[in-house]
Amino acid sequence: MSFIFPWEYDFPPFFTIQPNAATREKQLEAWAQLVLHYCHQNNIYTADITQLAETELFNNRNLNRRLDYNGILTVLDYLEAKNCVEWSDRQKRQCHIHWQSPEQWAEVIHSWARANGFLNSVVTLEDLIDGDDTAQESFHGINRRTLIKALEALQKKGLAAIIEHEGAVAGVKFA
Amino acid sequence: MDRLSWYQAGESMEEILRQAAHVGIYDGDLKTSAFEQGTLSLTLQRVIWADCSDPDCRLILHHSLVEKIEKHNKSMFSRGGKIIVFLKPVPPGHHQGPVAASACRSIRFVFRNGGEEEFYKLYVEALNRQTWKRTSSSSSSAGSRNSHAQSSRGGGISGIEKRLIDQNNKMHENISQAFEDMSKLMEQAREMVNLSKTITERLRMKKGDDITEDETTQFKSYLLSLGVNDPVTKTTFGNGATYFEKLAEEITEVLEKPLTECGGTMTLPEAYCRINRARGVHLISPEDLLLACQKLDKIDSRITMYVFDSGVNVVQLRTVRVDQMTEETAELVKELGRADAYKIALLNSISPVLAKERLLAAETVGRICRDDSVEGLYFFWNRFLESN
Repeated sequence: MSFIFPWEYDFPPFFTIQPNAATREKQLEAWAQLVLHYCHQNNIYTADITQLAETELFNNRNLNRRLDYNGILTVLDYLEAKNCVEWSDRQKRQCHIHWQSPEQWAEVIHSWARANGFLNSVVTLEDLIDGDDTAQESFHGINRRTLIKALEALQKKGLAAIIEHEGAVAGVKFA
Repeated sequence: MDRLSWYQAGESMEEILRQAAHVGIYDGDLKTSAFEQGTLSLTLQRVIWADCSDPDCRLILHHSLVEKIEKHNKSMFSRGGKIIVFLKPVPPGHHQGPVAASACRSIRFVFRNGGEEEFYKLYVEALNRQTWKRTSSSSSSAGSRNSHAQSSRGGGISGIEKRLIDQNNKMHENISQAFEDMSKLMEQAREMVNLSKTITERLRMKKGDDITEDETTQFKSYLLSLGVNDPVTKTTFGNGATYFEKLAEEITEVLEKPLTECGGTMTLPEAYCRINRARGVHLISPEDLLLACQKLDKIDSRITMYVFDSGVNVVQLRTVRVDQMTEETAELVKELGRADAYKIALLNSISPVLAKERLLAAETVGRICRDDSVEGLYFFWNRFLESN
């Protein structure tokens, strides 16, 4: 299933960060949605800015327009302010993109556990990320960091207990 | 040969036009002469022959004594090219020369080392100019220039120096003369201004009488191309506020029509050109214009100065509303779909600077948005805000 871009993607001014504040707000909002949708569709959890800049997301070849580096930074910073992006280095070269919040992930994972009879049993992180049982799930291949955040959210609600092994998160026991 | 006389210091300032060395003088057809070797010099008034061996032996032949001259080219047998000078009868009061009387009516200059061609040409020119006729009338000045003429023939470094000084003086004279011409020109320009004034007066009086409307307008266009008939100048109004206020009045008068024609707005540089074009003389400086434009509001002028956010200064009709302009520009962009400053400038017949300012203004109020790419800066209808 190919990704369907919004109308803004074919609108040349979309690729220029607008100087007018009101216009820019609308534009960044559109960009934020587009980036999250795109990452969701393509299962992108971690992004390298230079690599991302070359993808069709920021580079519209039909239109011969691309969002330049500063523009991408502006968009990602905007997403960071909304807790959807986490920079993994200070130079802002790489970032984690949370196209679902940890709470949303927690919901998805717990409903999977419930449906597949994993409640009250221990599941390792590897099983969740890469296991045969989760192959059809949206969180298959999920970023380890994102997963832990989601499990922490579950633990807070009392729906799961994180099991640590030698100081690192190793598995989870769903409740 | 009897027309030749001994050398006397110049009758007036003489300039040596041409010199030829190794020239002999022969009387008539005679083949021998006492003056075999000398340097022949041509001036506007006479030819001077100076003996090579004896510096005191110098002869002159005044052009007024020459009937005509002929040139004989060097033949195989002769000793050099010749110029044959046919002479007029001896005038009364002629200075005594080396030969008291001669039967021949012609003498020959023989150029043993050549150079007769050029000499002949200049000689004929000098004769045709007939300078002696003029110098005889101005002989009163000859005395004062006597020493001058002598020194110009002086040799050595001092001679060269004197010649340089002479040249300098001459140049100064020329320059000051040129400036005199300038002031004359200015005087005439003033006359032109006066003329145009009287014509306007007359037009005003005769209006509707015997001059048709067509002629009147034609006249007026002539006057306009001559410039403003009475420019406001610092000399008439001083340097203070009055000057700038008067100037502001003039600006209003000159710019109102062009402003109406071009849609009501004009950048300051454009206005500057128009003003000075209209003035023709007594040009004003850009600073004067700016200061005068700042007075436009004070004199309650029909035009006003407006400064865009980017710092671009424009003058515009007071009737023009900026927000209305912005709206129009935005609508135009919507119609076109995509537009840059150049296109807007073409369609509105305004300058690109101004067009860009309008686009930026429309952008500021969120009517349009920009597309800044390698292709240039284009503007689009703002669909971001529209989608709401």
